[in-house]
This record gives sequence, structure tokens and C-alpha cells, in this order.
Amino acid sequence: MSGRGGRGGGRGGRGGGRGGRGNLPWDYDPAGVQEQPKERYPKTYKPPRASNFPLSASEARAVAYFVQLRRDFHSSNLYTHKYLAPDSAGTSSNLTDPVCRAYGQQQANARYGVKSKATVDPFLSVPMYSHKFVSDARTLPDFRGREVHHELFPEDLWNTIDGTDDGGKAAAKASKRKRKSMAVGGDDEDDDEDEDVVGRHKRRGPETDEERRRRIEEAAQGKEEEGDIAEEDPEEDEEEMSQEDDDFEEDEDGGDYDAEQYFDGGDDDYGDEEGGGESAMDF
Amino acid sequence: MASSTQTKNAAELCVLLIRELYGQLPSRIFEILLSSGRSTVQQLGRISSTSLRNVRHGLAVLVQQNLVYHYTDSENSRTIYEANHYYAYNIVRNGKILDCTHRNYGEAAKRIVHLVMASGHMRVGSIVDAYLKNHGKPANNVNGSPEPTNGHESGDDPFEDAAEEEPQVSGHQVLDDIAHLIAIGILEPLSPKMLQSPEDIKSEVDKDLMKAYPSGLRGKQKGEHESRVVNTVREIRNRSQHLKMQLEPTYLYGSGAKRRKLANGDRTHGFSAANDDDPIEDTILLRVNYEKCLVELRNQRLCQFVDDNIGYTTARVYGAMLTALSKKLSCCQPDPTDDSIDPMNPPTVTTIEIFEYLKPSVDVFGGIGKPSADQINVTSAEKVERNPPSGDGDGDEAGYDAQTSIEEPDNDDDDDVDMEMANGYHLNGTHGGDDGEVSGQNGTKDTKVSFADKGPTKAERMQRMRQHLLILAESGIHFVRHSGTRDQGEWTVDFEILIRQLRFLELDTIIEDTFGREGLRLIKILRAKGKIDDKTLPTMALMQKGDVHMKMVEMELAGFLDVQEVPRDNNRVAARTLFLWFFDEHRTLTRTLDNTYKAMVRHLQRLEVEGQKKKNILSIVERTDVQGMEQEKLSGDAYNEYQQFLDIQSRLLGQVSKLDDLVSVLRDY
Repeated sequence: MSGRGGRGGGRGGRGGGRGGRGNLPWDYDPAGVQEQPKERYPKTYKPPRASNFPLSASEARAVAYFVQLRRDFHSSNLYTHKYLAPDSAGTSSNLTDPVCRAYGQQQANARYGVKSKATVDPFLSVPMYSHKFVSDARTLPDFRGREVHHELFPEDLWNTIDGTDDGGKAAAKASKRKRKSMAVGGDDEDDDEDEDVVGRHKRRGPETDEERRRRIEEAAQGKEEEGDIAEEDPEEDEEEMSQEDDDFEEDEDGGDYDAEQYFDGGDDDYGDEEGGGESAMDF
Repeated sequence: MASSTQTKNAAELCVLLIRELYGQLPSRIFEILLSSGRSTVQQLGRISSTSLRNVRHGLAVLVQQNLVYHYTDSENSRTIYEANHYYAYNIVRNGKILDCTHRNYGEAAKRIVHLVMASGHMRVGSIVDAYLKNHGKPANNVNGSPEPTNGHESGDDPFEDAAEEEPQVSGHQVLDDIAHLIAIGILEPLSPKMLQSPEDIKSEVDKDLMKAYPSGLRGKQKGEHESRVVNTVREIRNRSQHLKMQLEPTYLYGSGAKRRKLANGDRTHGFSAANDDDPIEDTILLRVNYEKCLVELRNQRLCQFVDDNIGYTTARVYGAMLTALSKKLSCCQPDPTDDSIDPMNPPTVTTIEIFEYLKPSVDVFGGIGKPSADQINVTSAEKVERNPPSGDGDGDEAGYDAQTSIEEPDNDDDDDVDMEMANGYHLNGTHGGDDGEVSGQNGTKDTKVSFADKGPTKAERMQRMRQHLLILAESGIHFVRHSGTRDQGEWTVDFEILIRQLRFLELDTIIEDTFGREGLRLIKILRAKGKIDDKTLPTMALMQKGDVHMKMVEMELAGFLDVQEVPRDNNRVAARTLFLWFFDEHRTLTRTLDNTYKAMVRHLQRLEVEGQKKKNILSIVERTDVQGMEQEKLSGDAYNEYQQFLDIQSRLLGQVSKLDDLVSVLRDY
């Protein structure tokens, strides 16, 4: 519309007196068009009210089924909670406003909050009786104990669905333990297993369907065994779960300069790197 | 199927839906996949600036729920992920699909679909286990018949141990229901190939077949290669159909004694016979086939349409007709490249088939007046239209225009029958002449028994039903086309034309609500006449010039209309320029769709805000000791507040699903 205004032309005609718009053959009345924001909604806008249009029986049932489905999924292990208490982390509560725009990935990520030792609310984290009724806010889906079908997942995700994906910590741990075991002279059975996990990624290249199927089967079997191991030691896994996203843990392999590890002698047990006292702080 | 042009609002909607149902991590990953396209895990990690471990977990959930395509290149073994927004959008339909399944196929079917939906894909064996675990207790007869069953006691039921404390459901029954759902097409077997995007499959096949031409393609080979690629791709796509085809004869057509018993809630006989072999292996993976579900939802919507236009009884008859017809349809919008589907010869159903699906409770004798015989032009009423009316041109408005139809009296036309059979629409051919062979939701036998002794016979009933079908065929909206005379008449639906009218109806409602009746009148004129000069428009609309111009400008600004300027000479003076108004159907559709997405997004955001407002109460409700018995555990105020939240939630979700109805009509049906 506006592009036409500048074209000039001698026609004064019907639209005369409206200055500038005269070259349109019809009376253009801007009254019907809001060019500026107004105080109130225009009178003509009558939004329909929900109470005037109650749901029909079948619609109501559909909603109920959807809610039921949602509840079922939310109580499964794959659900990750929506916003992890950003207000308890000390940020302003408008971050939870879903309409609030986030600029850049960093701000977007900040909305989801982080669950780590740094964000624990000291007043609520003391174990209480009622806590046993509250399900944990989950930051990562948990595939352990689930039936997964390896053939449907790409290889990248096999560790994840087997519940052995710990973001490269296994490798770091393995190398560290190897160092320790060289010093102490313990056995290194676990290391082999860990390396096997890592090794899966290395062994790549064109392969036939046959090979792939065999590998899938192997993985499925391996998962069962690993599942057993995982069940034996839930404590350790939980610890790992709670520490994802934690920036402070990144320099875990800091050697003697790692203050947290300083007093850990070489005689630690499997997976006890963080020290026993702190595990009480975990969710 | 899903529109290839994804708008920002549609993307936002998909992300919100995933967040609502599956949680924040998958939705974050999905958001990035939508905004940055195909990516590897490493790329996703970099863009999202979260740890790779998070990315992998998010992706795993997305794969589990069929929300991403992934493709591993066999050469560099790099895996690429791609968002599957078609599946993501369909999350919003889950509730409706469950409702529809419940209504059409019974409670047990709904529970099975619910289980599969909740876990994305599932092995047959684990469906059975989970079903028995969750729903063993209540009596699960499909149609709720109260008498206890004794069928499965006869023996070698492999799941008997699991079901021991619940005598009502046996694993076999569940398997049977699953098989039925597969035969209908609501569940489909899932193979790894189906998680690859169609483009990837095509390029892989292309690369594979190119090995046969090491020196490249030339001349004639090119076309040959193309057709081979298309065929192989289709073959891959159809691979999952094998099981469905195997099960179809038993569960949909033909010797459906078992099925009929089941659907009638009469469990006492069928199962000893069914026990000898399992219908499906329990290692098969299943997922929900949304395309077929959409067909079912479309049936529901069309019934509603008939109900609004003609009447309740006719709508029930139409429902039966659509149910019979949808047995032969696998999706709403058939792939135009698939040449196995001939648009000129859509699948048909016969009167007898339709009658099988007519619920005995429907009183077909109501709903039609009784005109005297001389008031009816039988030749015109029984007119057979063999070819679909030409849909293009201005067929939208002119429902009553002359069709290219062969008028012929209603007598049996046998060579036509042969032609239809040769076309292969009746895959199994089991429902030849004998009525009793055809299986349906309500068995023939039953209707006969219940009606034979009191009043109308089956033949009368069927005749009466046929009258309803003729009414449908006669109405200007092309509900039904009377396409042949075999088996007391063959019927088909030209969905494309019908849905187009439904689309215009929805658009008209929107236009009328926004611009009033005058606006609607103007748009209807434009639609019927094409482009109109603004000088002739007022006379045509019988309106004041000023009013017309006001309305037109208003609608143009809202994007419903557009104007084209055609200068009559070189200096483009307004006086010497023709202004042609026109209504662009496609653009209006896409705009309306986008606005609808936006509205849905806002509703979901609103739901989150409401949830935040009532955070305290909701956190109590979510406690495991309160869940399920809110009324007893919560104090009065808290309970009221919770009820308020539930009310708001159901309104918001209800509105979202109503908006989805609109999207379905405008986009998917």
C-alpha cells in the first residue's frame, strides 16, 4: 500500500482533501486501521470466551487422555524436568516466564538452571521424612532398567542408552586409575572394561550389514551384563548423575594440584573420588 | 505430508509440545535441530554450548520417541540427526487419537496405543507384559460385557503365569488386540530404516544403484535409473506393510469369526480356536502410525460435517460408510508420485459392506421424510457417477454444476463389476457374494437376530440405509459419489474435493468472524469470479461503493485479499489503472495456519505460566503419597486451588486441540 503513495499523479478526484492518498481510486479511511498503539482493544474485537464454548464430551475425554499420557511419561525415567529451580539458584524469577526472550545460547541455557552442589538450597537439602515422597528433579533421562533396542539407535548413542555414558569421565577415570594401580600394584580389570567402551568408538569403517547386526547383538548382551554391574552399585551412579553440568568437576584429573583430591590417598575404592562426606549433600 | 515450509511459529510449537510431554532436555536439542538443520552430536554440542553428554541423552530420548531421523554414513561413520517435525506436531493429537481409538476399537485397544505412545516404540512382548501389569485387574472386555471369560483356560497360553491373579485378561487376548490394531494400521512395525529421513534413503539407494554404472549415466539410462530408484525407495517403504497385509485377511476381511466375537464382547467361544498359534511374534517393534490415525480423525470430522449439514442419522450412516472405506486407505493425502494409486479410480465400498459397519443401535428409519413416490425423480436420485467431478476450475462454489456423469438407470451392470475387481481394490476378495463372509464391528448375525423378530428385516434396514446414502450423494457438497451398481450400489468419496469445501467452510467462518457478513460476501464473490475490477465489485455485491472499499482495504491489510494493478497506458496514473482484487487461496491458507500455530504456542505458554502461578500446590500434588487421592490428602483451600488449575488446564488444552482441528482441516486432511 504505502509504496503506491509516492507515485504521484495528477488525480485529485474522489480522495481529494486527504492529501497524498488522492491517487487511489477509493476512499481510504485510516480510521479502521490502527497505526498507533491504543490504550484499549478496539471495540470491535470481541474475543470468544472459553466458558461460552464448553468442551464436548469427546474433547474432554481427549484432554483427559492427553493429561494421563503426560503424567505417565513424566513419571517415567526419561522425563527431564522443565525448569530446574532457577529462583533457588538466585536468579530473578522472570526467567521462568516462557514468553521471555533469551538472546544468545548462553541466556537460553541459563533458563534451565543447573543442578549441582553449588545450587543446593541449604534450608531444604537436609534430608526430611517427606522427601521420600518427592521424586527427584531429573536433569538427564535415565535409560537404565529400560528395554532399549540397539538397532534403532545410531552407534553414537549406544553408551547413552546402555547407561554407561558419563561424558568421557570413564576414560579419564580409567587413565587415572591406571596410574594409581601402577603405583599401588592393584589389578586393572575395570580398566579393560572401560577401555572397551572407549574402543567402540575407534573401531569404525565401512562394514557390512552382517557385521553390524552382530555388533548390535553383542551390544544388547553387553548391556545386560553392564546392567547387573550398575545394579550392584547404585550409589556410585547416583553420584555421577547428580554431578552432570557441574563446571567445577571438569578438572577432575588435576593430579596433585587438585585440591579436592589432595587428601585422597592411593587406596581409594572404586568410584569414591568425591569423598564420603559430601554425598550426603546430593539429592 | 507435513508442510515443507516450516514457519517460526510452527517450530516453536513443536518445541513447546516436546517440552510439555517429554521434558526440557529433548526440547532444547530439538529446538537446535530445527534452527540449525542436520547436525552431528559434536555440532549440536557446540551450538547449544552444553556438554556432549547432555546432547547424547537428549537425542536418545528423541530417537526413542521417533522425533528425529538419524543417518549414519557408512563411509566416514558419522551420524547425522535431523528433526522430524511431522511427528513432533502430532504430539498434540495424541489425546484425540486415544479417544478415537477408544470409541472405535474399545478400551483395550486404547490402552495398548497409550502404552506404545508413552514409550515411543515398543516390542510386542513388552506391550503384553506392561498391559498385564497395569490393567490386569479390571475386566477388560472390549465392549465391556460383564460376563467372565473362560476361553483362555483351555490351555497353552504362554502368558498365563503373568495373568494368573487376573482371570479376565490373557496375554493372548492382548496379542489379538495388538494384531487387530496392526491390521487396521494404527500400529505399524518399526524398522531402523524408518528412522532415516526419506531424502537419506533416496540418496543411499541412488548411490547403491549408481555402482552399476561406473562410467556414469548417459542418455536412456538416466530415466531407467530414476525409475529404479523410485521403485526401490517405495519397496523399502512398503516393507513394513507386509505384516499388516498378512494380518488383514484374518482381522479385517474374510473369516473374521474370531474378530466378530471379540468386538461383540462375546468371548466365550473365540479363544480356544485362537490359541493354536500366535498371530504375531513378540520381537516385532511397533510404533503409532499417525498417518492412519489421521484417517480416523478425518472420518470423525467428516461425520460432524454431515451432522451439521444433513442430520444425525445420516451422519451415523456416513460414519459407517467411512469406516468401511478407510479400511482401504492408509493415509489422507496419497503420495502423488506413487503410481499404484489411480486418482480416477478411488477405492469404493458396496452397500452390503457399509451395512456391516452400521451399528445396530442406529435407527435408520428416522431422519428422512416420507415424500410420495411421484415426488422423487428416481433416475436422478439413482444417478451413477463413474468419474470424479473435475475438481479444478471453480468447482468450489458450484456444488450444483453439471457434472460429466453418465446417467443410467439402476440395473445391474455386470461388466463394471469385473472391471472393478480387476483393478484390485478388493485385495482379498473374500467378501464376494455371501453376506455372512464379511466381518464387521457388529456381526451380521446379531443384527439379523435382534431385528428379525421385531419389525424391520435386514433387507428393509439396508434399503433404508441406502436412502441415506443417496441423500448424501445428492447434496451439493460431494459427500459421497455413487460410483457403481454392484452389490446394491458402490460408493466412494472424493476426499480432495470434499476436504477443499471443508477448508473453505473453515476459512469462511474465520472471515465472517473477523470482517462480518459483508466481508464474507465479498470474498465469496471473488472466489467465484476470480479477479474483479474494483469498479464492478460494488454492483456485484449490491453494496455501497464506500463500504466495499473500506472492507476490501481492511481485508487486504489482514492478508486475506490482494490487489493487482494493471496500468492501461505507460504513465501509470491511478485513473487509468485497473485495480483487480483477488483472493489467493494458498496464501490465505498458509497465513491462517501460521496464525493458528501462533495461537497454539500462546496457549501452551499460558499453561506454563499458570503452572508457575500454582507451583506450590502442584508440587504437593506431585508427591507420590498425594497423587491419585488429592481429595483426601489436600486441605479444602488447597484442593479448590488444584481444581481451579485443572479447570484452566483443561480449557487451555481443549482450546489447543480445537485449534488443531483447524490445522488438520487446513493442512493434513
